[in-house]
Amino acid sequence: MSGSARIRSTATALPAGGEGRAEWENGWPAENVAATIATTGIERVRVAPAGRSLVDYAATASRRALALAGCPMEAVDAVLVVTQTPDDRLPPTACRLQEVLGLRRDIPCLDLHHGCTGYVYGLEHARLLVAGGAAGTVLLCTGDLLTRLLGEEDHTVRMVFGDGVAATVIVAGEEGDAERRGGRGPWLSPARFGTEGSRANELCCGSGPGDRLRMDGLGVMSATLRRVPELVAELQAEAGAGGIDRYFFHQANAHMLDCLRRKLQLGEGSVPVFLRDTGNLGSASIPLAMARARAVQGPLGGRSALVGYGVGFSWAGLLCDLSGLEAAVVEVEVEEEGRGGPGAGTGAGAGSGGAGRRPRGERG
Amino acid sequence: MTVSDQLLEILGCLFPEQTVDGRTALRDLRWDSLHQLWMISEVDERFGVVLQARDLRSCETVADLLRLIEHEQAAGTR
Repeated sequence: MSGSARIRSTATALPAGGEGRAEWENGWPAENVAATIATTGIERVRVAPAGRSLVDYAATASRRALALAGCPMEAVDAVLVVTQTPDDRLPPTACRLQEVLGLRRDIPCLDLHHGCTGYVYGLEHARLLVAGGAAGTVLLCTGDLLTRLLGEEDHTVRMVFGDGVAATVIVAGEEGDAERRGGRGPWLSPARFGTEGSRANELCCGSGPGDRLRMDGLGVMSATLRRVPELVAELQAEAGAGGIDRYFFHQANAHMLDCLRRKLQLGEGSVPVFLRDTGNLGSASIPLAMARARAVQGPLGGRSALVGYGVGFSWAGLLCDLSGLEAAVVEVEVEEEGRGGPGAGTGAGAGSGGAGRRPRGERG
Repeated sequence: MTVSDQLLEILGCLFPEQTVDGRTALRDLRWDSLHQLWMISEVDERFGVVLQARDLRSCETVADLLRLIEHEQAAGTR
């Protein structure tokens, strides 16, 4: 490895609006809604209005993350977008984002198709670009507008999945920092991966016009409780005597996180849970949890494990040092009545407006 | 505490208003996917085995569930 990489900053853009108990009870029995909330820990999910595109949220998150990193647009050497809900089948979302942000022309822009494990996949691709010397700064966007894949009547998924996109800036570590860091390990370690494609149908969505996301929650739970503890054991062995101070698991639902925590015999304080007012954000859930934890706890010193699992069925994890992380959460207000017209939300809408479509009313 | 006793204890927590024994049909308990989620995690925590979703769904009675847990315990979780 010719160099090291580190996570410098992250920002998540969320729709300000969404739906919660009141909307769910309009169609489903209140007792079922209450029992589901008690298990998932999700009281509200964010829903992007029809006028918004994935690129809108990716651009908002990217601007904030780059500003936090003190990184000008011209310093970005590569763009990676991890999503399963691109605005268009082609071109790649990363190409639209390059245009909207006004990034350099001589950079690679690539989409990766992955879900809840996608944040770790994206970080590993970014790390390899930086470690190999191909890039000094990588902009990684992860997330989906998942609610657009959900059936109106399928409350098992409507009460779980939400919309949101996170941007993360990965930069080269300082020269020789591996030696200087002593026993603290690398800023960003190589990732570990696992896949069990025989379980692919447990969380899937076909590509036909009427196809909707289908989830076998029991199957996903069973697979998670089998595979994630094995992965965590490998990460703990890699961390050695220094141990792991906190575990940022994919924020699937509160019950799942609680089961993992108890099975792994981890303290409550070492497993951040941030999904109550957002829902499960797929590949944006880990960076959102990092940002929320940074806001609540202050600097995230020590060693962190980032662990994704889900669609595939797949799982992946890595160790990192987030002690210098800058982070934010940006809520994007609903557009004024009538601004989001028919056809908005398509790639054409996202691309043609460029910076002029910058979401209004941002606040963080 | 035997596996059977512990299983009845779990079911007692999940269905506090009903009488449950080995012959109870799970269908009669209005056993839904949330109950099944909790059953997977409770069985994992108490017995160290992670039940497969399809195996759990194939259980019709409490006795079937008990046999499944004992079978998985003997086989060891892969």
